[in-house]
Amino acid sequence: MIHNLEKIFIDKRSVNSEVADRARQIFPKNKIEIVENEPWSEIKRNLTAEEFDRSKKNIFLTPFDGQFFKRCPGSTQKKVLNCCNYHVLNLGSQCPMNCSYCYLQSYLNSPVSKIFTNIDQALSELKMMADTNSHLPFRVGTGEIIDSLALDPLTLYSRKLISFFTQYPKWTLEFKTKSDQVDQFLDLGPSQNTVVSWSLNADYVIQKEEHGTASLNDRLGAALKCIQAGFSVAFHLDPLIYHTNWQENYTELVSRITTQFLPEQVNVISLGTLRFQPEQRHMMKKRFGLNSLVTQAEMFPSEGAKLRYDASLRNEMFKFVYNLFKNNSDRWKIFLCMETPETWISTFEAQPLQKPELKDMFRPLPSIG
Amino acid sequence: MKLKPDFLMDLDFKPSNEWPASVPALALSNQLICGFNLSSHHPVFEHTFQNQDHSLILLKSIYPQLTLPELARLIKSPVFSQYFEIDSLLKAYQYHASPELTEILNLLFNCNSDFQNFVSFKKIGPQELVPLLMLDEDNRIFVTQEVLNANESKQDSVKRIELLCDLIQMKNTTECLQDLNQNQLLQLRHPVTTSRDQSLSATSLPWSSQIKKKFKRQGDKAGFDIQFFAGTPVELNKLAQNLTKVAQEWNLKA
Ligand code: SF4
Repeated sequence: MIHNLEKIFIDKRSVNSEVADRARQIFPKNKIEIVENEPWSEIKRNLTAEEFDRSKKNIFLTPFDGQFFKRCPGSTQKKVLNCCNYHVLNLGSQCPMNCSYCYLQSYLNSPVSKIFTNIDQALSELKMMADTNSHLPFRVGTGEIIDSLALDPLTLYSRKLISFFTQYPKWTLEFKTKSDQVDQFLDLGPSQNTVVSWSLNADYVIQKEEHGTASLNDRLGAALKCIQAGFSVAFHLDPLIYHTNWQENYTELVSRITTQFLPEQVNVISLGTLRFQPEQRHMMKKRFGLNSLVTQAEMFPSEGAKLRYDASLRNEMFKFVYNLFKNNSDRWKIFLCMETPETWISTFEAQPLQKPELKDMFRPLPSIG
Repeated sequence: MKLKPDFLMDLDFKPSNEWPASVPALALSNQLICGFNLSSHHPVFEHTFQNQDHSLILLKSIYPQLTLPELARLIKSPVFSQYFEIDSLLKAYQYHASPELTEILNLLFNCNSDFQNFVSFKKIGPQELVPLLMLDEDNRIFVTQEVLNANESKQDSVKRIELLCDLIQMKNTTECLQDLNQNQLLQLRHPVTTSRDQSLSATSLPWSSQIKKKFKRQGDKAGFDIQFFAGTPVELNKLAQNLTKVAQEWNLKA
């Protein structure tokens, strides 16, 4: 995936960073440029479709001056969605892969991908918070505005993070990816408080909507490698996308998971259906046309101002996939991500706090971000 | 100085409102900036052109607001750039300059005057016109004409634009889309949801005759709007029992 990058811009302030060193080892000289300012910084507005495409192929290695440690976006929404005790650590922004539904299309307006080179500062920020809350089961994820692992062969940040988290066994580090880039940290296992999680989808959906991502086979293969090396693994069947043969295709996906993994090997499986901000739809149509399951989707205004499928269709999809797992074994731990209490109740007949296997994940913790 | 032939009309952007005949027209050096509609002997105040900032202040005081089509016509006037700077002009009228806005202004400029007037009158914004950018000229003309023919509220017009643009890109022919009402367009755009809604609304449930029910879609939810009157606790109890029965049946059939 890193080889799809066309240009690596290195901020003058980051020339001596470890990431810059690695970039110089990996990429030919003509792909690297040292700059004083962020490329295309004159663009101070929403990106056009072309500029957004370009931002995926150009990366800027630069220090980050703001706050690294943030709380999960779901927990800041006005009307309370059920969301897990999840915190995000942004070590960069943008993603070299290209999913048609990606929420970064309405979220990012930086004209270039970024990798923040001052990870040590991020870790010391994290240490200050972890030292006072080491007894609490916080989860920290790095995949909010960047895929956690797609660029990891360049940054190797996974290695620093995994080592850091071994000091805080109650805390959980969560990588979230659609790549298969895991080889660079496998030797650091076992590490049960590192959860490597994959967004999975039916093969058909991956081919049609998740451009440039690893195939289902490769994602599952990488998950198996992680388990063998002693890491925890989780899966996000998210977004479930409605299409003509959705039942067959998702049955096939669940059967691939249930035949290759045991419920005890998978920390949790989250389910989510397609959703996006209304303002994102024009950008998606421009970038992917109307021959996409996502741009053609029948979406309606819903909770949190997002567009979602009809609520009864969502319930049907959740129940269908949920039952596929539960018919295989009661031991699979399933939860719904970014869903309303109504959907939880109609799918599971319970709110998350009423489900024993999910209680810990949803119990409110003090805010530290 | 008299309006014509002493002044040039290159900045005539056909403002929606006519300049009042009782007020002198104004010019920037030899270019009129208002009163284009007035007769040749109308008096004119002439301001010497100083710089683009000054021109903008003058323009803004004459036209505190300009609609998108008016801006499009002004920007396209042959001498525009001699007097104004485009980004500051857009900012002064609360728009953010962007390649997309430029495309929309071009598109509007190329639309017929009926559609331009419609956009001005309904105060339709740039984001609401974005779907038109994805069509070729013939289809764009079809959509704008359909919107004009339907002559709906702003909200419905904007919805129609998006529905038609989506449906055309989803390979529907313009012949099948002609003269359809919003419901018909929605059925075409949302076939799965429409058929689910139809089967829910047709589900036979044991409603009491004292309960008025109407099938309704509200955002991502479809269901029944129900209304009833209870004069005594006994009546209310009966209705509640009926509702419980309806809920049980509905659950079975869902
Ligand atoms: S992998 Fe994730 S971040 Fe990357 S494009 Fe897809 S949805 Fe967006």
